[in-house]
Amino acid sequence: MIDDFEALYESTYTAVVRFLYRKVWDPERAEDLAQEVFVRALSHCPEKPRAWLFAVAANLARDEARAAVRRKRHLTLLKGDPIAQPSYQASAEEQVEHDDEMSRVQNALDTLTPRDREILLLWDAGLSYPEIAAQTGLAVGAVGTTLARARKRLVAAHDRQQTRDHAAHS
Amino acid sequence: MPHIPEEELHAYLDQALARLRCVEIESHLAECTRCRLVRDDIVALRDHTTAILAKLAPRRTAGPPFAEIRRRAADHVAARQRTLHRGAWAASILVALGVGWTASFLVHPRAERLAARTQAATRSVSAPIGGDSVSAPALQLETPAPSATPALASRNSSGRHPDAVVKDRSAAQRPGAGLATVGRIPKDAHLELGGVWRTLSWDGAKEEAGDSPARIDGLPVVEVQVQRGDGGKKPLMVVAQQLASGEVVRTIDGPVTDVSALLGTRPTMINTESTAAGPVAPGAGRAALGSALALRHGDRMVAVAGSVPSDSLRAMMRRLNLMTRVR
Repeated sequence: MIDDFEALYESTYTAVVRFLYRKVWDPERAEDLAQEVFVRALSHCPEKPRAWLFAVAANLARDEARAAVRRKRHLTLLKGDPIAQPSYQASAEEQVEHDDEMSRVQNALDTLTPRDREILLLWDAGLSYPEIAAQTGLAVGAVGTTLARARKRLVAAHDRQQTRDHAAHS
Repeated sequence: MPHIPEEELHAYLDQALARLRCVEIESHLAECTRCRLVRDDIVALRDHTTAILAKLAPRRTAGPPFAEIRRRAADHVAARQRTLHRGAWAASILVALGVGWTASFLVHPRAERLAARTQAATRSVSAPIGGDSVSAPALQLETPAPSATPALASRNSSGRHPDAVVKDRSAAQRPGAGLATVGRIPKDAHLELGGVWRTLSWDGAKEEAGDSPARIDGLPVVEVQVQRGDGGKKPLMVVAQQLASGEVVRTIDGPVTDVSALLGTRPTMINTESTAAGPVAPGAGRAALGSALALRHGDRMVAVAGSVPSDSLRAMMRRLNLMTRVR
């Protein structure tokens, strides 16, 4: 059992951190929450640990967002973001370009409805349709429809912003 | 075969369909150019979406060692168990208290209620009286303490009281004496009033009196003694009730002459005007034992006697259930 959890931890930790990061937009907080998720998983020993991990992660992220609202602490996406930093020392121009791209992605995600965003992020984290359905309360058949809509909206919003930014720079 | 819905192609590419359905779709795609184009668009859309989201991906971090997670999980479990144990202890204590209280109430429900009402009655004793609901005259008969008890009915001709009665009184006044018989009168005792005293149960007393015997509401009855009247007269009845302090108070109900004689007081000393309810001389100082208050109504008299202050007697007088009947 512990070995199974260890294997799950090794294979899923990064996905959970990424899932949480896209919700709390704070890399250190995302890691803290991810570790809290695994601690809870070991304490509860759920039957379907992978789906359970993301369900708890979503709840923790939701609580974190509420706490952030209460504290009126507005987290910014890219300022001092160590996660998205390239490993090499980027030039100022490259850094600006990278920051712009990150901002476009976040804004594109923000155009989605919370339900669409949640399902898209769960899919990107590697959850299956039944797992997504179980976590979100949707029918399994509706997950494909929702995913199709979310993908289109995300890509459209991203491309729209990219076009606008390029037009502004040129 | 109709064209494949777009959302089903998404599910197909996400490997979320059953194997049989996948075979059907692949067969259709092999024949349908339009659906193949749609599939290619969806593949591009998926790849684009993945690429966009990958830009938000954190750098690969291994996280802390799994042993660290295990240690924190163990701490978490221990803390949760401590909380559960504390909660269980608190709950068990509460349950034990509740069970104990319920059981005691079930075992002595009436005693509990009467005790509570007795305390209320005792508190009301200290309340001042003046032009209140006591409309009947209340005389204080400053009789010697022993004479206020039915046991005194067994006194000898000199009016002195047998020592046995005193012993019984002290036993009855012990806190927690409960329903112990107090002031029992020898059955063969021929009283000054004549006749024989009998100790009855409460139901027997009601049957004897033809009604609920006169008593102070809210106090537990410890003994009922009765002396059948002659010539069809109502019986002379003494109801002993116990205060929370252990004091025994007796309510004596019967013909005026009998009650007066029992109290050692001549009937002429009793005010018979029911509307002349003036303040009664307290006499509390000398009423530490054996004060009595009496109420006359026609040829009947009800007296309350006990070793309590006179104002307490007055308060008890107001609680006589007989008051309602008399009015």
